[in-house]
Amino acid sequence: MSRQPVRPGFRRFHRAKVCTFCVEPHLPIDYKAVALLQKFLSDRGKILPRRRTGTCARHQRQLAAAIKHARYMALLPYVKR
Amino acid sequence: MPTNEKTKLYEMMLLFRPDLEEQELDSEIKKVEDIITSHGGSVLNLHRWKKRKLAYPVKGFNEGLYVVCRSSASKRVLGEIDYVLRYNERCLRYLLLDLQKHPGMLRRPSEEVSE
Repeated sequence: MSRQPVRPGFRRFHRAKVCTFCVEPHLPIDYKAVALLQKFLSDRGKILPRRRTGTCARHQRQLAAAIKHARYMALLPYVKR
Repeated sequence: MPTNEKTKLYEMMLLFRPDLEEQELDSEIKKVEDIITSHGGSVLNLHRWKKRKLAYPVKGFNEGLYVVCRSSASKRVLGEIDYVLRYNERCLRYLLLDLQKHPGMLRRPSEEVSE
């Protein structure tokens, strides 16, 4: 995949991303909280990378584990078609 | 039963067939509870979710009955439960988690379970 060339005089804006779970220390990373986990999935059901969501490394690991548990228990799909 | 073994906090989620009668589900839950208590553990809370659509079919079922249970128990209980549920035709899936190993889940009091 190639990125679009940056047009001269055009600046790519991006907001500094912050980890959702660092901002809200009481928000559980729980495989049962399906609605929350869904925010970290692509529309195909894949786990979004940290560069997209801003999640820190520690919480991304916990999040990925939670999503995989939810998938195993058929709370979330492995693939969405 | 000696209870000097170290107890840990576990959460288990059980997924049962959707066609179970109320009493059948009760008896399955009772079996698991009995295993925990007979080994000196205790059931801290138990939630039954209402019948829920599965994200994908499991053993030919599109719906399932979920039961979530937190308990403090010794490690041996886990093996027992594993053995009982593995050969249980009524149980479609089960998940046993050591909560100490999943710090993300302890970020809120256990009562406020979603669903």
